[in-house]
Amino acid sequence: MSARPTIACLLALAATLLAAAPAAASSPSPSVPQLLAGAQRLNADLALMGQGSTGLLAGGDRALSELRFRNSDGFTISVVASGQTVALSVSRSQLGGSRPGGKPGKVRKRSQTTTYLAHGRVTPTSIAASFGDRGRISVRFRPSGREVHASRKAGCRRSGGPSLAELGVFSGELRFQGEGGYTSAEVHRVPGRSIDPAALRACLIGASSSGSATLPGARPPFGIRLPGPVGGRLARAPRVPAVPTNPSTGPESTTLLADRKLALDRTVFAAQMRGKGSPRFLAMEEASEGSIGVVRVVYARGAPGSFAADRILSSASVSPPAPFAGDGKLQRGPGNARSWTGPLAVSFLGEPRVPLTGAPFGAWLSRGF
Amino acid sequence: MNARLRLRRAAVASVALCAALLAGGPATRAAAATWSKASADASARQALRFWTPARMRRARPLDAVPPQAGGLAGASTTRSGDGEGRGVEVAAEARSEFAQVADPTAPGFRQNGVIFIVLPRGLGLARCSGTSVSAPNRSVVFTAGHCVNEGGRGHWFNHDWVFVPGYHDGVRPFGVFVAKWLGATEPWIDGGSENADVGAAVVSRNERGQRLGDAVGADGIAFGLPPSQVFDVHGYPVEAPFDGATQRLCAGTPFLGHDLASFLWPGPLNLAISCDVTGGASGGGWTIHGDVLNGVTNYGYGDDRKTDFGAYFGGAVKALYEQASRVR
Repeated sequence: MSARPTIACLLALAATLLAAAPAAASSPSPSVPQLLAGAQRLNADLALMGQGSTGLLAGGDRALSELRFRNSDGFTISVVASGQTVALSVSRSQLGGSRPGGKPGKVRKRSQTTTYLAHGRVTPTSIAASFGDRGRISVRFRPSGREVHASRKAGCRRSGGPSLAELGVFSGELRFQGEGGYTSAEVHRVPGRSIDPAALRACLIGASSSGSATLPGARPPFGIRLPGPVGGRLARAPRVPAVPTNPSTGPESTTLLADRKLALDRTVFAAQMRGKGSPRFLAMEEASEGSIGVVRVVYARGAPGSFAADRILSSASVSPPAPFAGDGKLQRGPGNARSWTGPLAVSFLGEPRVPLTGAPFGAWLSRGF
Repeated sequence: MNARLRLRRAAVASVALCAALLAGGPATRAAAATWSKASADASARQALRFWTPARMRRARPLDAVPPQAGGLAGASTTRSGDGEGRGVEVAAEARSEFAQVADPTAPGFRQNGVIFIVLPRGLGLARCSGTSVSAPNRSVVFTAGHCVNEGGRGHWFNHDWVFVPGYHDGVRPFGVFVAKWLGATEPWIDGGSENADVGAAVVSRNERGQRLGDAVGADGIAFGLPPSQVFDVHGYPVEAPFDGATQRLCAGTPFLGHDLASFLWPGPLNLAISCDVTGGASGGGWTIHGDVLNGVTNYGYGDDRKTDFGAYFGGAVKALYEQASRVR
């Protein structure tokens, strides 16, 4: 039996989510980064499974389709489809503060995303999938005639070549209702695009589309080594993006990671503070519910002092802001025994008040430089 | 938890099951990628000489072979609890549902066995689990795709690939069966889809001149059934707390659901069951109704030893079976 990834993937997930950039605004002439933004966000959410950039996006030359719209209740709903996989994501985020170093723009203060995965029928011109009780999608792509071509301005390494993507409209039906009715949508025309992964790959590596480079996805910036039990990644298919360890530059970072795996469900909590910056908090839950998979992610930036750890990493405490609630305390005892306690909980989209502490969780505290 | 040893034998098999059993069905489009040799270069006797008890003990679970291992002599046995005869059996019994089979040579168990492989590129010796499956040529073994091919257009493990049914404690009670044909589902070969991690072999006669099916019998095989089956999981786990010395069985373990990662791969969603398998059990058969193969062990998560995942037996697996059945 092969052992699938655990901690390394959690790191990739946590790192990506904690470092994720604000959502790219839609643009009449999207650049390559904007073309990739939706898939990258999804990849980040999926990185837990070690799929990251090599999973949904790098599956050979399968067409990648994406549509996205702002629902009337303020949630952003997007669908990314590739191969047999159709991923419907519901998200909302709040920006605030300012970027470090006085750079223009705001940083992400908090965000909640829940992604529903299903197998469906995906072609370069259509998407059809059922999300069970949650809803369904059956749409056809109608190109507008506008295409995105490779250019240095768009972010490619060279200009020319086939079009990277066609812009247009998906028409048909998309119905969705979140658990407990946290959101619902029914739309029949949504702007979207059909992306040619091979052309995009060629654009990014500046070579022919037969190159083996993968599209960018989860890019873990954590520079830490995690102690504790680490599950072996299956040696025959190392798909996990490499997690850099101990980079020589950058401020010191302290990370707390708690993880619970029960059969088909996993819950993860991560906290990180880097230098004197604001602590960042992440919670993630994955579940398999019949014929759909669900990945819920919450991110929040906390106030100074909301994550504290002593110098010798024997104890730490967290009190993250909403949508988290309560606090948690990690205490290392004799024989490296660890206790992870407190009323800490998080409210995901579609699943409120999920406990993040207690005996089923394993917890680790580490520091990197 | 107490080990449970019970084989489920349904009084009445469903119509769907009967229809799907190996006897019937027109041939479908062959959708399996294969390797074959008209005559295996390693005869059963050569294989018998090569696969000494010492080498069999040295073989590591296929997924755990260290990449730095240097050829046959380089296969290390230094990891704790991953070799035979390490004296961990008692401890394992106390907390494992993957219970030791009292007599792996008994009817109903002896069609299960260990697959030994000499890996390419000097990566050493490896092992998996497999099952003799009923076929007209009486020579078909089913296992995981990653026990015959690396997947994603990778290498075939076509060097001294042997099946030892009823294996226990370094003993080969029914001899050694050398592969003359290997195959795997097309999605596994082409893209390494874990939803299709199923492989098969057609083996030559053993050193006694017997065909596999004649020597140990064979399980039936079923395709296209609803996933909600109750499985008996067979295998030869090597990694701790097991030692690979003998056959084990998780009896009557029901379908739990699908792995979330399965939604990201092409092919039918895979199946999860509860069984504390470890490395070495890859390819071990999941049987229903006592002796009908309907799954094989593929993978598990390092921090959840109690959940085991295997590919669904659908059209791609059926095509593989039909192709293997036609090999002479």
